[in-house]
Amino acid sequence: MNRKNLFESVWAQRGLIIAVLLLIMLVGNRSFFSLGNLRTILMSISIYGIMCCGMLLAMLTGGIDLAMGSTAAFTSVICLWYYNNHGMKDSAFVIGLILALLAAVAVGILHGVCDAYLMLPSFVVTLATSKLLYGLASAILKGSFIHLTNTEGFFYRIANTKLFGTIPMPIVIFIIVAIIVGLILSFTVFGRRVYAVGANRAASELVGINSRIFRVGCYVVCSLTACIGGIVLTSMNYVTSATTAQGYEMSVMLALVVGGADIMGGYGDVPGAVFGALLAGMVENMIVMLNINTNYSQAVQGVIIVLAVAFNVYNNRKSAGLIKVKKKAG
Amino acid sequence: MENELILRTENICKSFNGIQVLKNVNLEIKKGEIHALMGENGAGKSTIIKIITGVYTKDDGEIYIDGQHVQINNRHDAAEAGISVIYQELSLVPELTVTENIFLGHEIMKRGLPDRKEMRRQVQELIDRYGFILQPDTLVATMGMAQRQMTEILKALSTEAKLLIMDEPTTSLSASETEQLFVTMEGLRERGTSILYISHRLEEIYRVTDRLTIMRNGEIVGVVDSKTVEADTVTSMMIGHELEKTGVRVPKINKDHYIEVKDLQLGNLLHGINFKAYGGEILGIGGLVGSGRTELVSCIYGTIKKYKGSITLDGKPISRSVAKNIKAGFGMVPEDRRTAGFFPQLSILRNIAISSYDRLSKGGIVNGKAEIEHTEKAIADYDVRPHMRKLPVQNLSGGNQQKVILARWLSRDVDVLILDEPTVGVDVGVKAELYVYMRKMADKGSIIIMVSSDLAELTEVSDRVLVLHNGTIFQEFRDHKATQQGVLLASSGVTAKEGEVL
Repeated sequence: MNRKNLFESVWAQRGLIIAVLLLIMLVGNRSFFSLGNLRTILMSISIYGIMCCGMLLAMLTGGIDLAMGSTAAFTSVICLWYYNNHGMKDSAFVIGLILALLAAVAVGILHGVCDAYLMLPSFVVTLATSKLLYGLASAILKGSFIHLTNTEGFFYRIANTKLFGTIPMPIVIFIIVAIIVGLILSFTVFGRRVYAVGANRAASELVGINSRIFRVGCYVVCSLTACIGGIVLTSMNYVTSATTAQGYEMSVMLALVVGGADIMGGYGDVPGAVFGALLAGMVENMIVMLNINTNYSQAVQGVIIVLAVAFNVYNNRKSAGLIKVKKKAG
Repeated sequence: MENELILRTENICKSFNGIQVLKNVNLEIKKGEIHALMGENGAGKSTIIKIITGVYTKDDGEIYIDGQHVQINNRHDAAEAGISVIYQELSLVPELTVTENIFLGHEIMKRGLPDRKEMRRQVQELIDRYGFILQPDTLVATMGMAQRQMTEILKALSTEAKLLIMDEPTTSLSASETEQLFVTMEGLRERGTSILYISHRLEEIYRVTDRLTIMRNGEIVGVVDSKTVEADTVTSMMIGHELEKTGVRVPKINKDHYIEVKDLQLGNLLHGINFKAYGGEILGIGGLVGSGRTELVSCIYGTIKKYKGSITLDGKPISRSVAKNIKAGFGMVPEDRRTAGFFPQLSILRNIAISSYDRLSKGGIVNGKAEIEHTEKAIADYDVRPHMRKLPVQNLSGGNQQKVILARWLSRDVDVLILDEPTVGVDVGVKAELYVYMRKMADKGSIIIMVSSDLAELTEVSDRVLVLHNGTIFQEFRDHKATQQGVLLASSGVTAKEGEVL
């Protein structure tokens, strides 16, 4: 089987999964297919869809960022806190946003340096910074919430306007981020090198790639998408706190793994990540539409995710099974 | 005679995938002797040992221990029969003490708990009996390599091993540690334990062994007394006949295009290396594993940066940055293609093009059309099979994986190509092809440096051969005068005359 067939068969399987779900809904509840519901699904996945695009880069180079939720909370708190303390003007938002993005860059560099240069396990480091950022955000807010009250400003309008009067902005931002990251991965030298670093670090060094810098760079992009997600989420909810986006990194990771990414690095792409996010969003929505007892909804989601991951693992084994390992004699 | 032998094998045969790797091997080891086993890579040494120790099952033949016919079907059987292997990569747990390691898996129990006192007593007794310099309570993590090896040996002795097999035990030892090991081995011999000793180092064979069995192409070609045999007799038995030279290439050497290495020092690995490699020639670098070959080429390529001395290209210093060197026309085919050569899950295209984005992109954007053309041409030029640029490289055969790595560099007309063991695990047909590509590159005027342990390759393909021994250049063979025997002797630090024929 060549690469192309393999790729096609992966998408055939993904199509099959979606088709089965759609078929269930055709019988179960046809209002699932309304434009309004499609919008609901896309809205529900837009925030962690944005974050998926960043985490994808970190995972491609063999890293992981368990501090994404906290980064989103911390940076959105910075932005809104500055905004509220400086007259809630659009100019204050711009400065707040810049501060938030700078904070995200700092967090990303911290993660990258710990992983790539100090060789600390990213799993532990990002879990620790997640506590750290949560603590800092709590300290800034003294444990309370912070509200977005200026409904006239740009900050409020980010999530509360619709493109052409129909598509909510968070969906637009998600699509833009996905397209940008997708294009970078597919068409730039940087993208080619990211895959190379993820596939074989030692080999990437021998073709002149400074793999450590790439890994730091990917963590920075990861934190930046967390920041963007956090700010859009704040605008959506008119409020933020230290617990904003808590646990999102887990949904993000699941969506990526369902979409074919590998925690060990080297596998994964944006279409797969979007598929993973979409599947998760659909399942969640379906459970509501089918009036399944919410007590079971988590369990159903779990089962579907395990099935999707099993498909992926099966595919990867099938492709790896083509390796012929000959035991050498002598 | 029969009861003098601890181990006797009778007509052991073994095939892999229809290729016979052992042909009627009759190995005999006496009680209380240190017996060496030598042979080139692929001669069948490891295979026979794996059969004796139950890792592989034999196709045919019998094994006798102490005159008794035994069936060895797995490691456990081998241990029962009194055979123990000291592995190259030691199998000790660093976090445990000597005693805990020795009794790991068969602890002495007392009322359901390990009886530490009794185990410690037994270990102390073993240490005293064999006169080892060890303490029962030392943590393995705090010990040097030689002491770890002794612990490993002690572990074998604790199970009443009659035959110890040591597979290149000195590779990770310093000179004084090696000497310590030899003293230990001699002590064991006096107490009647037999040792089967595998090594590539002739000087060690002389130093410590009694008899020597030499293997070639899966057969035993001779059993000799190590104290009296001449070094070149051993090497000629290992090699067989010198391969016939297939038309000596006359290199067009360009004296104005060269890499010069001057007084290169690297820790205790390289001690003052001086040489020049010229455009148009293939310079071979021989020597044993650990003689500093890989480190030498890594310094030239820029992967090792902290060396002393100078390396220049046409009189100008070479950068210590790999990326800059690649831009200047360098290329490297590393020793282990799996760990440092190819990107397994990426396509042939991605693997070949990865080194050439300086040419295949503009402003950071990949020129997709140029990328495909570049790869398709490389696949055709270097006959990578199958001709499918989207196929992940992990699905190719070893030879084709190597072609992909070579194509990565040759497709951009490199000026300096460094190859480290370029044909390990590559079948004969592809080997010949790779040599053709290397020669073509040299004919274009490039500088080619090839590190190899394959003597036939080193002597046939190189125009000139440098042999390293313990971090220095021991001997230089010019004008295709390198013979396999000469190189082999030089690798062990013995000088043979240039071009000497057996």
